[in-house]
Amino acid sequence: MNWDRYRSVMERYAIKTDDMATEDAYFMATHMPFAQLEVLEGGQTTAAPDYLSEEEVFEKLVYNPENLHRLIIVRGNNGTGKSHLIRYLKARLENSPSTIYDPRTEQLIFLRRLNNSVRGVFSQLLDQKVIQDPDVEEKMKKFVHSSEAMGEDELKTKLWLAYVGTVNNDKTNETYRSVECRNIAQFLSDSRVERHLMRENGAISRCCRLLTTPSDQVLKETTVFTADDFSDSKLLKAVIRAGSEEAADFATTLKEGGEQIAKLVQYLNRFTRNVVQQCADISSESTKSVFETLRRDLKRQGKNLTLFIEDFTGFTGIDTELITVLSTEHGGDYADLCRVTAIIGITDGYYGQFKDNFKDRVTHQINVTERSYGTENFLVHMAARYLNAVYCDPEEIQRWNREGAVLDELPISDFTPPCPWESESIGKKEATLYPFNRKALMALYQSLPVKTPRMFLKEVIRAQLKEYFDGKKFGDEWRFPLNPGAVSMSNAPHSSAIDRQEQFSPEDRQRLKNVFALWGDGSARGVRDTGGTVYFGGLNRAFLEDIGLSQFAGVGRIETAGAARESGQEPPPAPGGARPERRAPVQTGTAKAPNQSAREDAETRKYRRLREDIEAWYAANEALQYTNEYKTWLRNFLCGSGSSPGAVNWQDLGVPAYLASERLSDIGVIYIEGQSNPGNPGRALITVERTVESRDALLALVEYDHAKGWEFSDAAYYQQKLITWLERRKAGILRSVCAAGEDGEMPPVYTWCLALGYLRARILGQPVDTSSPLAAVKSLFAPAPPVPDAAGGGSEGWSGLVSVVQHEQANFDAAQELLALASNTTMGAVQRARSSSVFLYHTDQLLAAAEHLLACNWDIEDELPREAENNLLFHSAALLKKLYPKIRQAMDAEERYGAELCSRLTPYLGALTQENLIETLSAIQDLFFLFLQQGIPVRGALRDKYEALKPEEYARCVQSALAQFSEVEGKDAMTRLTVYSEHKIELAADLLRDFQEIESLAEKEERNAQRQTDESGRNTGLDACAAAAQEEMAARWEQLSAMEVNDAD
Amino acid sequence: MLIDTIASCTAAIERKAEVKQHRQADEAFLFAIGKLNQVNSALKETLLCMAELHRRNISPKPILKSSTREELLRCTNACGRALDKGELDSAAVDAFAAHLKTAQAELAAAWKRDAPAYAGGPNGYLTMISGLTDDPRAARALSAAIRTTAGSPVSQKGILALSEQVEKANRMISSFSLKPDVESFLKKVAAGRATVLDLTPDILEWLREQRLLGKLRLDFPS
Repeated sequence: MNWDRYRSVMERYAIKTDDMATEDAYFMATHMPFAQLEVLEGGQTTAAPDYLSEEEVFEKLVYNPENLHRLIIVRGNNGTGKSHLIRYLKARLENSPSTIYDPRTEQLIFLRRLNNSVRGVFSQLLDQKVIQDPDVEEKMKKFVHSSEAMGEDELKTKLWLAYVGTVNNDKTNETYRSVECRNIAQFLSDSRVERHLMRENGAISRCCRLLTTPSDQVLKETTVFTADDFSDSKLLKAVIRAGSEEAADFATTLKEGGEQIAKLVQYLNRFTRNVVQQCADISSESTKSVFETLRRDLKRQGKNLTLFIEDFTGFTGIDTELITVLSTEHGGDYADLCRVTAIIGITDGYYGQFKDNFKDRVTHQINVTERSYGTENFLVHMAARYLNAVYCDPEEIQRWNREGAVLDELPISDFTPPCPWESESIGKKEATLYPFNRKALMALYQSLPVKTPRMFLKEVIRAQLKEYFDGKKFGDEWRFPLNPGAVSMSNAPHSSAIDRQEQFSPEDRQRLKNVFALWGDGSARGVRDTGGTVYFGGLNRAFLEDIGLSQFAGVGRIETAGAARESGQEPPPAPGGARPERRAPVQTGTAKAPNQSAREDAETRKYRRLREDIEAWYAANEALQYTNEYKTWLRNFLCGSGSSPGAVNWQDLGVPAYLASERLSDIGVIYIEGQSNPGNPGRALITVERTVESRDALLALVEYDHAKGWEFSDAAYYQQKLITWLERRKAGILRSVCAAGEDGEMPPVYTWCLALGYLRARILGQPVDTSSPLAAVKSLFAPAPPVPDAAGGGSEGWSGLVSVVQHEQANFDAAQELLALASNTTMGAVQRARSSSVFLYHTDQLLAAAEHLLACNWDIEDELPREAENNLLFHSAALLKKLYPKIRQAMDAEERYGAELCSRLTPYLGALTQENLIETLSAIQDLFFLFLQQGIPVRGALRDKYEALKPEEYARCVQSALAQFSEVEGKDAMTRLTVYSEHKIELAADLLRDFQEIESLAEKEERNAQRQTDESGRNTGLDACAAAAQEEMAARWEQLSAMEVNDAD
Repeated sequence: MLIDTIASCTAAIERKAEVKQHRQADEAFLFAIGKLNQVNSALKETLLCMAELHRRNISPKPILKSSTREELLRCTNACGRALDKGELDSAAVDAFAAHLKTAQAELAAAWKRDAPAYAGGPNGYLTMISGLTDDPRAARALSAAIRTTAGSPVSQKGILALSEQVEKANRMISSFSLKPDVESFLKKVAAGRATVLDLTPDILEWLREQRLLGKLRLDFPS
């Protein structure tokens, strides 16, 4: 076989997705007649359509013996075959007998889509001598030449300046006043705005592409400027801050938001047409005159015009003029114009934006829809035509074309498949579909993201053939067949079995699966027919050998055809080498696809996606998309969920069920190699490697989820795969879950948690019975008593310690919960770890831990791990590591605090003896009594305290506290913690505070008394008053004595 | 040491209490002196008024009763002794004040009784002839002033004023020349004792000349 020639023919002649680039001979050899073209009269899309074949379209619309005016729009989405149809119609007209097409009376102009830009259109108009006006011709030549010579940057600058100039000179006062137009021009001239508009994909770049760059993208001039070009707030701020006054003014207006921006965008887009014409240096009138002159000339020559335009998008800037001229019907006032039959290709998107008045000028529309090409017969026939063209000798094809391209005489290649294979009738002959079969063609078509003939040709036929030819030529590094849609074998056990066939490279294993998934029946079942031919998955073994998979010997035993038929599993081999699939038949037409989608419920859709995801992950090394689902299912599989128990009996295996449940509660601890979302393999407890075993396990989880249980056909197989996966990893998972060290032992979590509980109790001043290990455990498991008032007192160090405990309360509580729940024996499934109300503690472990703690006086700082991992198990250790140094610091601070208290009491008491204390306390009581007598107020609490206090008893308590305090001075931190936590030193602190207050009060009252005494000195004028009064009394006595009296009474 | 601070404070408070007690006693003594001064001053005024009334013959007899003077003398002695000893208290002053009030009552009664009688005659005559005098307005004003003064509470100033007003009235009366029978008739009229029989032809002629006939009224006294 001449594989090089096949490939060369394919690439040079047969399969070019741009129809216009295909040679006429191959175009005719591969042309697929459209059968169901939707034809509408007029320009409105709401009219009822007729369905015509392409031949009928030609006869009724293109062939125009009555010389009727026709403006025919061929529309459809990208790649649906509009160009193909237009080219066919053009070729059909050209090849017609002179009774239909006479070049002497009919001018045929064909404008191609080769260069989908204004420049390309101009070039073609020049090449086809359409331009009659020498001035216009000169300008067009100049534009084509200059835009070719001009660099992109230069052209962009020209466009930008054209917009600036147009806006600056706008005096219409329609959208903006002239003053505002000048501001806009200044704004557009700002260097920052200029850079922004000229950025990649900015407005000016888009406009530049419109002029020069071939593109399938429909770009209307009304979409050159978009809101994105002016909604960058940073840009606007920069212009406001540093731009010219006018530019800043306008930028401020734009800051107001959406409406202003929309107004500007609409305003600027209005000028695109002018700007394009300005850059092409062609005025609107001259554009119009090009076609008017042409029509007049043709009329004078006695000719009519048939114009084929493959893609109207390229006429941006001059499309309005062109439509205006072409839509002008000849006769009447326009008797000087010739008749026009224009067939114009327009995408649906472009036509949707067609101005209504132009729609009114359209006489017919031909809509190329899926109905026209999407059937299985169409696609298979199309594939056969192209394959035949590829396999044929180019000379024969060209000769056939030269001889009139009669379909029945189309040469059929002598390509011989290695085994009997499916074929398709072309005319009266059969052409092979090899290396495709119908099933493969349809499956591959269905997996296309955009289902159009162009995509089918490009992504299916050409792509697969290229790999096939390369494989055949080079013999190694086969890649055929490709499986872009990651279609997986429906028989997962067989797929898995192929993955385990180590004699194949991973690539070949994948190819095998692709072949069975796309070409075969989805399985790899081997059947030997009565003639001894072996079929795998319904495919002839010779096909596999032909594509470099000769080593494949099947999965399991090869059955004989009779036995297989008896078992009802296997129908006889199909003529083409492929057996029908056991499962639902492949959909054979895109027209049916929507119905199929509708039937496929959400669950099935999800199931299919998940399977494809896993297959792509494993086979194509792609990222795993639905990671969270798999992780959740895996977690549920291990720990159980709802009513389902988990697959691991944690408690029996020595791992507390609570621990397992908690440690695996976050699915982030499961890491799947190649997962799409970023994860941290370092903190993973369970790692799912990209292996066949893991793939099977994930598929098993998907099947289980889909079937909502293990009641499905391959359940046993999947269960076995899942359990195999688990058993191989169980020991590691257990070790990870309980964070076992190298010795396999779980970290001493109980010891840590008990120590934490003890320390918290001590710091908060809560009692702990440490008389025995059991008493200590009971004490620490009992509900915590209320925190004493004195808990926060003492030194600053102690207060800081209490703050730490309060701040870390959640962690302490978590440690307490971990202690209580992890040491409890969970009965039943893991997911019920929290729900049990019955507690059966592992007392032996708890007592051992308590005993150890008592032995080392609760100081296990040296035993803590150097690096505490950040997980549930090590949280308590981390907290302890943080706590012990703080306790030491706090005890030192507390000791200093006690010493300082004693030294500060001495000035008040003298020697800290009981006698002194009693004497002072009694004196205070006497003083308070005196205060009471004299009406001197004393703070209530203080007065009450000393009224009720018994000096001897109180002195004894204080003395005892001080003695206890001094006894532990200099001892280890934990011993001091035990003593200090009772906060007896606070008695001394209280006493000091009282003494300070009383001293202050006494001094104040002494000063008051002194002052009042001083102010109350004897009244020195009193004696003088008395003397004066006495003198007066003497005078009265004399006056009275001298008075005459009435003795009558 | 705290105990020292407490002791010091206690001492200061006790000292303050003692001083306070002394001060209260001084204040009571001073208060009694003040009150005694007031009584003394009032007594002085009362005695002066009594003496003046009698001296100006407004009251024909001495006003102060003997028993009252005795009590006042006793109180004066008692208060003087208490002052000397620094033991004067409000009770002693109050007793003194009670006897002062008795004396003041005696003075008021004498004034009320004697002042109208002392001013009645001249004032009645002046009232009657006021319209016939050269300055009838001044005569009527004097008459009103005499009535006011005699009706006011007794004081040295009032006694002096009454005395001067009566003297002034007498001067006005004496400067008014009338025939003896007319003067006699008018005095009878002023005293409310004139009868029809007193309307002699001379009197009627005088009344006609003085255009007083229309003012004559007859009355049957009850």
